[in-house]
Amino acid sequence: MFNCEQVLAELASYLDDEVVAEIRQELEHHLAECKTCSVIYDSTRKTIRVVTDSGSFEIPEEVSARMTKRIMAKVRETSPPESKP
Amino acid sequence: MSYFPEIDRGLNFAPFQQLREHFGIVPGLFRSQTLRPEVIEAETELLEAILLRERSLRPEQKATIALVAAAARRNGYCVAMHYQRLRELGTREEDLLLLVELRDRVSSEQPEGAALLDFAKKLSLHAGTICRADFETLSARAIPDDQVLETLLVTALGVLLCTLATGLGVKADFDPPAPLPNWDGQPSTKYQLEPRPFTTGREAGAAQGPRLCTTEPDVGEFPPFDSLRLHFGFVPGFFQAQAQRTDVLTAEVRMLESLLFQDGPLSRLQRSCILLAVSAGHFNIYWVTLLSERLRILGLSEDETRAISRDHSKSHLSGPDKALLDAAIKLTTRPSDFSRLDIDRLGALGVHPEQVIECIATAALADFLHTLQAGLGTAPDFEAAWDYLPEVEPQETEALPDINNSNPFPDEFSLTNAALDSQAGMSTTDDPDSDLVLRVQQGEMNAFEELVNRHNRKIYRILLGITGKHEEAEDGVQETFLKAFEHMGSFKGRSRFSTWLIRIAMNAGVQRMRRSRNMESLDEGVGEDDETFRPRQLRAWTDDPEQLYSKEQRRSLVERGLKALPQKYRMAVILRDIEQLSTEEAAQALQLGVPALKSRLLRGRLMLREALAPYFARGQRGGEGV
Ligand SMILES: [Zn+2]
Repeated sequence: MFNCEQVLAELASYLDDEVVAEIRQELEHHLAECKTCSVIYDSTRKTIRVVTDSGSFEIPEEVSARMTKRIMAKVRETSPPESKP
Repeated sequence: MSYFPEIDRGLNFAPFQQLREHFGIVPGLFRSQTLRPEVIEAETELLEAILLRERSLRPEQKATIALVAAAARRNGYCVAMHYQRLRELGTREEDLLLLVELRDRVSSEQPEGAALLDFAKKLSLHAGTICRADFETLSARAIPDDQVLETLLVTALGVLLCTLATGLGVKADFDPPAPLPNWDGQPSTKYQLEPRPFTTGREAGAAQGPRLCTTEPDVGEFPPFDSLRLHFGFVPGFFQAQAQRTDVLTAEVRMLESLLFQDGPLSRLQRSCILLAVSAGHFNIYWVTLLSERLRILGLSEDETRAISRDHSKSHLSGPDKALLDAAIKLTTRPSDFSRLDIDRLGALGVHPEQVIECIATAALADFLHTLQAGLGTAPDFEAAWDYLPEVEPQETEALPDINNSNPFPDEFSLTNAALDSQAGMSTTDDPDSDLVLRVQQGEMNAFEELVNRHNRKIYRILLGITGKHEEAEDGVQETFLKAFEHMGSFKGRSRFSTWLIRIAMNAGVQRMRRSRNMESLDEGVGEDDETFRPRQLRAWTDDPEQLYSKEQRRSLVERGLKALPQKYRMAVILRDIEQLSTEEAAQALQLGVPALKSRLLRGRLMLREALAPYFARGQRGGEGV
């Protein structure tokens, strides 16, 4: 039976669904019994969800287009890339 | 059997007599160096002083440490050698097998022994990650400093032997332990070791100084110190830190005399360059600082020294000299890739076998010096030469192991950033950018424009994550794409184009941080709290956190939380949870092993969870404004 430490240690893999069956079983067993770990697991899962669809650090289309323009102007100043035969 | 011919040195060759006493035979590791008997003499002296003679630790304890170091590095030759010696010393077979398989709790009746083995394992694999906490673990178990020092020495020597064995290509003298250890077996997840390409030695160099208590040397009377003074101008702190072990110092200085201070088949200058290049490959700031000073004494210009340290291909060294450095760096940073081909390549350039052996022995010595220094934690003797450290270039590694050929090194064991190419991004047939890349390589500018369009937002976000400043991020995006364009010809599709691009961006970002003297690098910003971090907010979250706040509000909360994270955790979260790279891709981009990435990611997510909890815990609906 896993203790809380071990659950925490395996949490990263569990959250990403990357644990082997035996460990999954141990984890789920513990999570069903332990309030603390199940709160940590559930809220971390939700944290990931919130982060992923927060659109953080997204930039507007105009800014992106401006960057492309600037970069291509520089690139065209330099020589063409080494071509591959 | 090895890459080199054996010369009969006669029965009276003293080192061989010595070796026979301890091993029953003369191990092939030494027989394969008979072209360079002086080197064998120096190595044997070091072996005798550190491994074979009884001091603070008993010979079987030392052999055990060496065995664990060899097993951690997956070095079959050395495993068999130490295993055999332990058998001779009467260790129980069951215990040996456990050791070879790196199982935990080998000797639960001797916890301090197990702690030293854990320490040796970590040191042998990722010396640069050793920190004060590791020493605190040992002192908490009341392990005396002289035993810790001896563990450092034995581990460093163990690493030296592994490098020699790989470089010389020796075949095992003894039957490997039967049944053969399962190299693919699960590496204990307990050891989440991470190579830290950007900061090895920085923590050591910053403030800590020697970690072990050593008696002040009586520097007046000790001939090895005279030799060091003669060649360095003073006694470097690295040696002073070992003052209580005059026997070892004598052997170390002897080794330096035969491999560094004198001309031989290779010149002093060539040998110093090899040591410098390998130290730089390990990002060991202590040795880079000291050796660049040494090269200055030998008359090399500062620019040339810096070039050799940062990227020797840009130095003015001759072709064969560059090839020697290439071989030494490969041997020490990517030992699993090193093969007979590397030896043959040197031969084809007219490098003599004696010289090749010297190069290998010097590279092995550099590994010893690096490992030991990382353990001792000595601060640089001069102002640290940070600008001599190489940039991590976005190159793809040649000689990438075939995945079907199954690289026996699990992720955890990748020794440097360079090895990470073997970990991830292997199946790249599904790279959605491959057509565009090909067209760019054929000279089509519009295709490049399309790539810029596709990826500039992502690259911008990543750079913002590193630098925290919008202008820096924008300039970094430009720099990244220009660099990518410049290196486009060398991109061979071994990783996804986007992963490659991210790595270039990471380098650009880190360089920017260095330039702006903001030294919170990817690997800093956490110290002891690393170990003690525990989730604190334990109230359950509402079922539907997205319902509580608008998207704008959530974005603002998340950005604020991310900005407050230490950088190394922030990057892991950004790559994985915002850019949604796979675990392997994120590890590759951050130049980490998968276990290290996972541990950073978890820490980052948990810290972010703490920051968000006040807003999303039950009963907090709208309670606190955004
Ligand atoms: Zn629990």
